[in-house]
Amino acid sequence: MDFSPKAIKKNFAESLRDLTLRKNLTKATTHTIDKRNAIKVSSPEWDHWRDAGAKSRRESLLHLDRYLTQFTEQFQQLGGEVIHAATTEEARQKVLQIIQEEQGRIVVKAKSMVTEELALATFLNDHGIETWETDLGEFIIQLAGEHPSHITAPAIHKNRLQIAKLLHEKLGQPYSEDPVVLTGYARQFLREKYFAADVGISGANFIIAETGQIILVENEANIRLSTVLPRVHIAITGIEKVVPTRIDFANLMRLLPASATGQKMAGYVSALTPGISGGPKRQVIILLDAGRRQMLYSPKWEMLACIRCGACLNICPIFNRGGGHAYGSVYPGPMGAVLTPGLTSAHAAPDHAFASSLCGACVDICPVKIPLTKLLVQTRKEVVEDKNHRHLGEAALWNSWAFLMRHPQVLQFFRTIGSKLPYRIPWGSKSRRLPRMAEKTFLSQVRHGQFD
Amino acid sequence: MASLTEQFIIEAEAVHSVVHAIRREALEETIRLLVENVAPEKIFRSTLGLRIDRSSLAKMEIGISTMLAGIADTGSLVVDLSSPDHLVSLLPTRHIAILHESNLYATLSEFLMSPAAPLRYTQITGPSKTADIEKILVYGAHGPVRLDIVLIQN
Amino acid sequence: MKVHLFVPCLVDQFTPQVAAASAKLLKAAGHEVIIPTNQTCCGQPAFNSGYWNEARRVADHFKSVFQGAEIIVGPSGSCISMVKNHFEEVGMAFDRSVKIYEIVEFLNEYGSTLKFKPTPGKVIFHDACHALREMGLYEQPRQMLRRVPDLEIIELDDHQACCGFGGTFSVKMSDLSLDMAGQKVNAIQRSGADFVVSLDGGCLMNIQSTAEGLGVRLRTKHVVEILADALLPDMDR
Repeated sequence: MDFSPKAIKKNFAESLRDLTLRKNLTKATTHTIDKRNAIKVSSPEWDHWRDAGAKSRRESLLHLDRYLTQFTEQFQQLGGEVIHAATTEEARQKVLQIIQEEQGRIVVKAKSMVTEELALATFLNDHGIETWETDLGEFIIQLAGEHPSHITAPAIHKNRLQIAKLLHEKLGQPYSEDPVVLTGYARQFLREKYFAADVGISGANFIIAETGQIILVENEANIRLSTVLPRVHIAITGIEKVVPTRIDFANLMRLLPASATGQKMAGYVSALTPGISGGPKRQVIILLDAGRRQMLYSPKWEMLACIRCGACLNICPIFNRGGGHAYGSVYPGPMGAVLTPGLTSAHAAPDHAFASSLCGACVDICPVKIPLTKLLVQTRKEVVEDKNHRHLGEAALWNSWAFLMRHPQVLQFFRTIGSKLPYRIPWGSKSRRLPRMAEKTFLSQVRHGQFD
Repeated sequence: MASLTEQFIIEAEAVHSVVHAIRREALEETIRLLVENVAPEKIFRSTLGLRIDRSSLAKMEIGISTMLAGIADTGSLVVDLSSPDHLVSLLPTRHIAILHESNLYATLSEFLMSPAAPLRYTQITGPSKTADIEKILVYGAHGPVRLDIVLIQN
Repeated sequence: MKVHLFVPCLVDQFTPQVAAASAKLLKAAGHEVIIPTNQTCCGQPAFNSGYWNEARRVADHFKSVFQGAEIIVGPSGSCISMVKNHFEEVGMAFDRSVKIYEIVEFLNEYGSTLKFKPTPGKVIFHDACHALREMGLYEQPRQMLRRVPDLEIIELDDHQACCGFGGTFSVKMSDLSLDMAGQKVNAIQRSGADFVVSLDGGCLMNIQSTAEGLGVRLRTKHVVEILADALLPDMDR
């Protein structure tokens, strides 16, 4: 499978045949959705939280620079450093520079999709800096040399047999299929790394403008360990993650764990600033643009409200059939289908927005009410209008179609011919065919006075 | 309608914390029983100002520390990251958290808006866990495998 | 009330009986039915494919055909949603005074005098995505079907799963579409119903054609066909 946005159609054709993937994925996503639904059903205030969350996210976006400035002032006052990076390349270089300034040789890394945009772990390892993923799912993926296939459950496509084999081969531990034992292997291996590491790198689930706090949400404790033990902490986040106040944050915490993992609350939610007792001597946050401003000033700006819960992936019939890797992009599923061309260009990812039947299940489940199907259709329009992507045959077809639809008599003429076709037209395959057209259209019957 | 304490206990137990609601007088005895089968040199109990290097702390079987606050509607504890003993809730294999009932808040919002809320903190809900392998819940991923909460009632 | 009937293009071309049933039900409920014969399409296929200029041209034709209408009713959740919710995205929104309804939605509210004869049978209701999520129609079709005595409505597990039609999706991503349709057909097959009914002809065509390709016998009908067939004779005017 090609990990490239342009390979999406080819990849999906492959994934559809992979029944093991389908089974692994469906089991996991169904499990999470069921737990999420249980929380929603037992929370009479759910709709209120969702309304408040949706409103708060839009407030952040509509006044983004005000909140980013406020956050920056707060964070700097506390002794932290704020760096702006316009591109992923710039961000990578800044991270490398800081590590080299600090003579860092070992890095421990928390799970962060933004760092996947940077392909950071690979980049650092290539520059001779030993970098370890510490989230269990990411650690598994790193050992396998793969990309994560889901934004909150990176190894969701693997079953325990595959993981057992991987850890046995890569860690040299006795083969076991017991998840408790396997988790223990990772714990043992990584414990040593937390203590040896010079630098800890994380993303940020939210950053709070009011206080300058960096919020990190997890269950494993790997983020606490990565961000507190090393002497330097570098957080990297997209600029859209800023929330105005602590109350906004508290409300979003009603929505995020429930939507992401079907939990009422995540195991560890840390508010980090410089000044942690025994913590890092240097705390840096990199605020990444990398296409976000471009989206902010576009009709698709609401996509930036995303809090990265992954619920839309879990409910999507297309994601569940293709799996995350098929999209060939850092962000898969419905949110990825909008973000991938959105953060780059329609030309770089022309097929993502079409990998959807527009069923709208994602719109229903999004905790912050992002109108995903509307944004997908908007993206399709941009693909069609992109000069690099002109599909002359298709354009001519729609042009003629529009002409016919504006000229009912001409349409009737062609349809009379079409209705006499001796066979049924194939509908995307040999095994499904369009039905025969009706002998007479309803409207022609009305025209001929066959209804009062 | 459950009281704050009742709600806290229900929620904390729902996330696999073990809650011991006791009167103040019973504190030492409760702790003694909880650490009964563990060698004393593997137990670290934080007292203000008591220092231990983190490598030694990581070798402890049990860490005992007092929490800043509790949050009832999710059964959570709050540890202040400005306080030197925050690592006691992270590095040892098991954590025994002491919480005073009077430090219970109904919700996260209520806690955050109170004067007690510190700038840097971790909200702890249950022991360390992961479900990255086939969504099967496993405790003690990178942090404590077991969380005991000793809730001191007034 | 005076109601303009919108005949979706798929209905006009493939299932004219659905439009006839719609007109019959509206008249039986005491409404004056106007059927503009120059109508063709709402433009949804072009709109969803990203060809917004073409969609706009067709929406413009639609608006001129329905000029003067106060109430527009049509037997398709997705087409009605296009007119009601998406025309504004191509700058062609109707004035807010024009009321736009999916037909079962309309009959549920303004068809209280309709009476139905006992029609023993089992039907599965397939929740068409746009009707369900963009028009909010969940209870209304079920309530209407429950007014037909002896008609049993079976709920599929996963009745809200997309059937894989998605308009041009069924052609552009046909493997995915067929997989989704196949899964829907299998679920229906296990249920033992007589008919699959829905509010969208596109879904029904997709389910029917896929079933035929898989060698599975099943019959599909639009909800209004079931209702019109069950209409008590003395309601006919």
